[in-house]
Amino acid sequence: MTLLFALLAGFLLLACLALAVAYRRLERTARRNRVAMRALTDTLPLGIATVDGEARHGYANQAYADWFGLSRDSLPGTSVRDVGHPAYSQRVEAVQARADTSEEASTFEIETQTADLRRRARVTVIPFHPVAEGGQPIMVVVISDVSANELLEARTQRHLSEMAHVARLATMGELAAKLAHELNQPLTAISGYTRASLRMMRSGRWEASELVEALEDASLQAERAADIIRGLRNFLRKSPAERQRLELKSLFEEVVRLVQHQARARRVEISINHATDLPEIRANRTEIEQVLFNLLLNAIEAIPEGGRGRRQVTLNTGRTADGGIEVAVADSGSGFVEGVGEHLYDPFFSTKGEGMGMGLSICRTIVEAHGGTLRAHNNAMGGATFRFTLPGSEEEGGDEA
Amino acid sequence: MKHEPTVHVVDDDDAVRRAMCMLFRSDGLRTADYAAPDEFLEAVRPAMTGCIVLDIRMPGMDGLDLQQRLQERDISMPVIFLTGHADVPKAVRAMKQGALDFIEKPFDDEHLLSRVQYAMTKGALQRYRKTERDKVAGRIEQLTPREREALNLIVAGRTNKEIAEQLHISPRTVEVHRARLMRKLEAESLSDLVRMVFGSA
Repeated sequence: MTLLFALLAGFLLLACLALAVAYRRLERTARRNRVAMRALTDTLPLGIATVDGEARHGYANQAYADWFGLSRDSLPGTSVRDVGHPAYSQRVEAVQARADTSEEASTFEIETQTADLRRRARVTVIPFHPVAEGGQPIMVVVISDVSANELLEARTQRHLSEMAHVARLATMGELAAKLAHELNQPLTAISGYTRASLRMMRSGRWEASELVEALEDASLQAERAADIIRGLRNFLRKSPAERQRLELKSLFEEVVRLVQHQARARRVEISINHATDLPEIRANRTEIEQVLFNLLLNAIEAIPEGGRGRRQVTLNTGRTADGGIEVAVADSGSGFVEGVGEHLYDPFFSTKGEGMGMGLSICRTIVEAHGGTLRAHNNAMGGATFRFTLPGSEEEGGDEA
Repeated sequence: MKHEPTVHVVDDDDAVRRAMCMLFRSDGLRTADYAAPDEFLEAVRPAMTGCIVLDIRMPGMDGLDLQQRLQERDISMPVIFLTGHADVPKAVRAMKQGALDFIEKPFDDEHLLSRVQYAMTKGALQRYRKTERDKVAGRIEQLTPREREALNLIVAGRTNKEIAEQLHISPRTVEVHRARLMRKLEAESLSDLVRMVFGSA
């Protein structure tokens, strides 16, 4: 009996020892897993947390705590309501309420505003029923910051628009050089023929046949020059088929966004005042964008750097009496010198050091091709205003028919 | 075949080329025109006189290449370049290669004509000097080695006595050599001799 008892006790002791060893091994494994899990979730650029059946935080990584501006260690055990973001906690609680019946993940977006940074995040809440937790559902929350992507996108967009501007200048430079060369040939010939004819006639040594031939060829050369100009006009004039109905407010805001970078660089503020009754117009979107882009850039660049006055560009839109639109771009610069006004639209006329002098010339060509006008005047309070009109869509439709 | 002094115009633009020729003719100049550099290279002869008016930009071989080919073939007529727009590197290269002038299109007719007239004069002068040099070189060829030695000493300013001593001959023999080489070179005086010898150097 004693022997039997001793055997039993020994066996129990051994069993306990074995269990203890097994338990410690399990515990070590679990701890290792937790450390690995923590290291992994802290490396990801995502906020990750678990939320239990009573909407209390379990595990939370650093990015999750950072997102709500909270301390990581204080999170476990607190309710999702405690993060101080109602839009967030309501959505999580909604998933939790139906977690018993549905394991469907829910995705939504939230925003936070810190000192000067507005951030947007995509939140995904995944409910599931772990076997070990006695059937009580648990939710995993994953937060990914999408504002970083948007910032990058905005930067790329701005970069692209600058590139487009530079490319346009380069193209114009090429175009101008080519044009100069093309026109030079017929002009040289015309000048040569007419001067030679004059000299021969003055000297009295001439033959009618030679002069006739020379003048015939000179007039052919004038025709050649005219063809070049016609070709250029056709190149510049887009076909009216490309015109579409335009919603101007968004178009203008888009262009203002494109020049915002240059404005900020020169500490110029752009303000927009839209009339409430802006009509729709039919126009070529790219061309109208280009007109406004050029006028806004000119206005920004017209405000001298280092000046002490107001640094303001104002974009006003309005409805004209005949149902078209009027757009005025005013700057608080120094205006243009009297007498310069009549040359503003000449190609290659520029008062800017680096200007090609094509901007306003192209603007006027575009506006007039749309049946509108472009005018400029100095403001009474200083600076200049460039004002263009575009006819309303009914009238335009009538013209096209 | 006798080559009259001529303005040779090379330009691929028919109208510009014809108008230029007419302008030159109105100033009493003889012209010949070529629509391509190759065409000119085929027609040109070292004996031709006058000047060359070249468009710097032409398809295929451009004006600068043509200028180089002409130099390789010992065509020494002065070259005036015409260009569509100020092309500084090309202008520099053209001038370094010995171009006489560089004129931008559209040109001022008076300016172009005065430059072309200047080029014609310069061409004629170069041609004259070259013929003179060739003539003198031919005559010097006919001298005996002894006469050539005497000639060198004469133009170096030595007296008959000094020459006699240096060549180990009698002053009388020097006299004979001097008379003979003067006759062979068709020189009338010492200064004629000096001009011929240094002019042909």
